[in-house]
Amino acid sequence: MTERDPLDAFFDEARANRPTPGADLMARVLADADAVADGREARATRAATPARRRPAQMLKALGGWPALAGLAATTATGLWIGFALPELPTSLGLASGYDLSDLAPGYGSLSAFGG
Amino acid sequence: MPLDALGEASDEALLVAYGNGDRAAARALTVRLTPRILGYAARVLADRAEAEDVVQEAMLRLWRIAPDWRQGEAQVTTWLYRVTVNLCTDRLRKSGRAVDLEAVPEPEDGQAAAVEGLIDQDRADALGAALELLPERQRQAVILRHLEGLSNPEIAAVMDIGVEAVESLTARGKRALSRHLAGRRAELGYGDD
Repeated sequence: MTERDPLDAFFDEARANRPTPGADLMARVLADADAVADGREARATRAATPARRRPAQMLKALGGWPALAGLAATTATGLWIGFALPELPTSLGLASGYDLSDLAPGYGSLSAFGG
Repeated sequence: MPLDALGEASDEALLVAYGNGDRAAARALTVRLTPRILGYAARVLADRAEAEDVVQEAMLRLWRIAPDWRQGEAQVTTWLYRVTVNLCTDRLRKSGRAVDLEAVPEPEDGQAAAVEGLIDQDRADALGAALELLPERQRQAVILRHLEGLSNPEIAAVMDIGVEAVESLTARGKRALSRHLAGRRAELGYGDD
């Protein structure tokens, strides 16, 4: 039979008198768990709100980035035409008896403005 | 997670479940882990209120890390003990109660008398008072090994040292405790066997 370490009796006694958490401490720990979970859920909810998703949804509705690039090019072209105002044709050049204003009513005033 | 599965689930499974929003898992973890780290903190700090604050803070850190917990890398209890040990160390150092590992020589037999003034209750209190006289790292290792029941490799992971260092700390700690308590054993009813 091996000799028992005299300290073991002290350790046994201490283990038998282990400090146990009271209801107050358990409640505090659980309240923290709930608060952390609440915060996490609130952040997840905010991340999924419509206000944050709206720009992405609009872009998707337009057809995505390629469509947006096309839209930007068209806008730039329109602006250029507006500023440069290239010389406008005055006739179709196919049948001398017809004027553009005959085919497109209102063209005459635009042509006059450009000329 | 179903209620009847909570009791059988591993600490890690419960922590992951809590990280995914299962609050019942947090309750199961609280019941399971809070007593363990309170036992350690109360013995190291020898102050119940302070120990409870440390436990609350350690558990709070556990709740916060839950969504980012990397499964299979560490045991939850090892991680939690490590946090608790560090929090206790911080408290001891801030309050000036920490005793440097190498600063205190092992007591001579005659020094047991110095403990007697501190020991006035029962056997557990006697051990607690003697533990308070140990250098900080020896105290941590002895408590984790002999009162919390951790294995030496687990203690090595908790204290971030090698297993041999754990063995050395616990051996020196026990020698010091034996000397501190030598003069008290008969008085405390253990006889002289």
